[in-house]
Amino acid sequence: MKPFLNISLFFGILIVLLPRIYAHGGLDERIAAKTKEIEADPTNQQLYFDRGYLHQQHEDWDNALADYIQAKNLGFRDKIIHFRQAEVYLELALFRSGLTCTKLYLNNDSLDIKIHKLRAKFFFQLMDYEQSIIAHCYVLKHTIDLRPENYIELGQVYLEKDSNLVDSALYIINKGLKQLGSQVFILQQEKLNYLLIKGNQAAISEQFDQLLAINNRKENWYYQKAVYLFEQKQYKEALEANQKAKAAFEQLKPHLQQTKAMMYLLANIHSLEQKLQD
Amino acid sequence: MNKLLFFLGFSILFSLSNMLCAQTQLISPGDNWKYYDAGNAPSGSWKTLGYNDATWASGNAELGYGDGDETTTTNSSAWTTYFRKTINVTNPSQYTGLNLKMIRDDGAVVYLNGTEIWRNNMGSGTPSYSTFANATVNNADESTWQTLSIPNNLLTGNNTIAVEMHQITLFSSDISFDFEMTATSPSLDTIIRGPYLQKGTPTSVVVRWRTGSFSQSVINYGTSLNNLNMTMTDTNSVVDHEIELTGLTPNTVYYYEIANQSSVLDSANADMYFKTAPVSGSSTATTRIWALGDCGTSNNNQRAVRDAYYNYIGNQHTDVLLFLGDNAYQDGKDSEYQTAVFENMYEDMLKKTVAWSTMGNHDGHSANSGSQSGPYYDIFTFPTLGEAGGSASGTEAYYSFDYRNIHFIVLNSEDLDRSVGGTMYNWCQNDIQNTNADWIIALWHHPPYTKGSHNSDIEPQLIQMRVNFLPMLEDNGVDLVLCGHSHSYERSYFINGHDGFTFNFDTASHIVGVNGYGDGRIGSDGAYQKTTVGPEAGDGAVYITAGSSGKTSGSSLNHPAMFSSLDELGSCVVEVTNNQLDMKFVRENGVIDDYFTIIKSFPTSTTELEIDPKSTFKIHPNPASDNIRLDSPLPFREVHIFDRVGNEVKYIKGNPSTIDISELAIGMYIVAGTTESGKHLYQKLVIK
Repeated sequence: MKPFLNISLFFGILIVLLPRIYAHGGLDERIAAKTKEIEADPTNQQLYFDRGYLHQQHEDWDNALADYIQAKNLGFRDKIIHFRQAEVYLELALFRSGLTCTKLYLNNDSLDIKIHKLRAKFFFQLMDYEQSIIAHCYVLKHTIDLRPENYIELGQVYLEKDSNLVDSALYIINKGLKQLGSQVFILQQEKLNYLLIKGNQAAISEQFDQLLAINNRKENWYYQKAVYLFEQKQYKEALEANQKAKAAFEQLKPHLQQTKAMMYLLANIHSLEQKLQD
Repeated sequence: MNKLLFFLGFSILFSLSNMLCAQTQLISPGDNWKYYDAGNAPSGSWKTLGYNDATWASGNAELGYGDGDETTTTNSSAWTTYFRKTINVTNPSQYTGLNLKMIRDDGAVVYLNGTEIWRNNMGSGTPSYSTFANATVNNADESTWQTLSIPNNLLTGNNTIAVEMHQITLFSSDISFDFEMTATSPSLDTIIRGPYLQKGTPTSVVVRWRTGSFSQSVINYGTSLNNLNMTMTDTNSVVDHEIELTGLTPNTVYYYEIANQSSVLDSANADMYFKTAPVSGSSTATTRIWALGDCGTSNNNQRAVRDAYYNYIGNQHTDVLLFLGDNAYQDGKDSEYQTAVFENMYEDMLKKTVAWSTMGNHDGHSANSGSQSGPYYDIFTFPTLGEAGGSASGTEAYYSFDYRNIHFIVLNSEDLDRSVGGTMYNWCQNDIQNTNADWIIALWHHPPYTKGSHNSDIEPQLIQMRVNFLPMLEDNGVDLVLCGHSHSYERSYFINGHDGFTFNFDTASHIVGVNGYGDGRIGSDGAYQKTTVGPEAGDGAVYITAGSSGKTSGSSLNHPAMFSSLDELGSCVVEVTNNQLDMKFVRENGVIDDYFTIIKSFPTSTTELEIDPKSTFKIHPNPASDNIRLDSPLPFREVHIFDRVGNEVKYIKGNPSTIDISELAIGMYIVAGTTESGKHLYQKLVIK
């Protein structure tokens, strides 16, 4: 193993552990203040719930869970505690426990979208993809302000369920594009990913053109298209796309050409050009 | 005081106040009236409330004779005709005034509960049955509504309006009478939040406000304060109003006023204006940006920071207002936003400058980006489809916008996936590679570098934004990053490539340019220089943690990447003019405790870059493992090899035919050759 990886591993462990060891700004003060309140009133269920949420924001999942359980033991009955506890279980990868909490929440409120969204995640982790899809569909049907992620996550569940369900995933992405707008980039990008899985060259080429259409700057997407065409051994078309990528690059303002990313892109364009000439 | 002046003044006052008031119809045109037209005066106190008019005739207005347009025809031989109408008013105290309108031909005297309230075209003195009007009323004047506004003298319960209509002569051929009375009251529909501006573009802006009661949304606007000749209306009754004005002219001042279906709620004045964004692109004009981090304390600290900025700018316009998150403590609730942002705080600025925001952790206590719900998402309107420039994100949680020659990228560091390859990352990468702006400013809440009340070495959100997002942003030329979270002011040197921990910061490798380790001040160590040529081309950004616009929280404040670390209240003012960016930290006492300048070199042409499609070069073999051979149509005077993050790993002076690369680690590199004429040619090299 190279030294770089050793250092990375060390820092990775630090990242995981340090939040639990060191202070965390204003949250620590609030937790300390809440602890004092609890010391003065140790049977106050609300105080444990409040401190549990502070721990949760602190990403101190164990202490958050302990406080939520204590709050419940003392009689805290508001449905929100089931939701918070489920969120903590998700972080702790205790998916069955989390799912149980969502059921308790559903007993109080079966309509709340956020609990169905959380259940979709639990079902996904438990590989119960059918139930995950049902929960996602509930969210899609009842959420007022949908985000691209709503569609992308559901598409991914379909593919996890069965890698042959690309058309179902594509259907969901297209639904998202219709709902949120055809220019939403990450949906168009996800659509390209699914089309690449399907392997329909005409549709893929068309999708590259769609991505080119929704972007002001074309150099990267012409290059991506050229790479795809090169891989498909469509050398003439690849050369044409690569030349367009280069031309688009040359239209950029100099300060944009000279960013690291664009220098790298230009090198890639040249490299592909060399391959095409060879 | 002269009585005439008093009434004149009162009328003007009521005319103005009526614009701001709700009105209740008490007597409508065409209403039914009792009338007496027997050719003499009625006996008894016919003007008073208690008078018994049971024997009088009745009919709907218009009453009279001789014109042919009457609904009810009265006796044509009467010199004077008398009218009465009694109305019931249950709660007259709700009314502040009465608006009277009357069609009279010829002269009339009007009484309310026996007291004269209006005399029109009649001489002075007590009129009798045989008193004639002052002047002839004819032609259009016969059907013209006369108007008068008076204070409210209505009684609880019944009230009687009595009118005597006098002919001009014995031989006049007609009389006419119709009447309307409305009562005015202070409008129940008052603005309790805003107006405030959102999602500004060169041709559109969203105006939002909140009213105390449900009402329609109306905006009157125009380019002249005295001529608000355009109106946009939404007839839905709401309390949270949101109207998008479209079809506007770029870079233009529009004055506006807020109204509902019946009255103006916030009238136009010199400070009620918005200025549309200029068309995106290079410009010599200055863009002024005000950035507030963690401002939402709702206290006098926050107000002092505000006032210091107001004093700093004077009468100059602020183009962009940036909220860096934690806009309303403790939990970002709607009521907390009311006191921390909208009421007795930034209302003067919000009505004329478009505000943009990123979500802070305290905003996140009551809002959820997954469902885009909660006060933060209810209060703000951000572009989701690239309406203000940039790539369409499809969400208000992260978005971008352009203003003149600046591209702003707003990220969510609070409650969304911050991983490389996540949706926000992918969108951001595409967005930053989709802009042609001269300057790129990114903002989010959790700072990549801080040793203030938060610690960027140990907190996951801060680390993830630094490790995951900074390399990509820097690779694409970000110039300035604004964050909050720590309640202090920390401003970096001109740096690049530092995504490790504090102890990894290395001035030799992370400082950019000869001035990069200085104060960045013209006339002192010199402005930071962002070059477009050479190995450091496109490198260098300043990172600011500016979370002290509402409170300070101290701590060590010793991050080595920071030139300035202050435990002081204040806000950031960024002014961008063409290729120069100036930043000032304006403290709550007005003192500017820190400032710096970034200057970008913008070549006027692309001649410094390789633009000849034939003048690329080849590398053989590629991939390689020990030696490479360069096959270039033009001889090089020097060759550089850069690793993936831009570090120069090899330099060869002259025009080498082969280069030994055996000591380089496996990976991808860029080989950059500089020709004798100064052209830079690039080629990718893979070392296996």
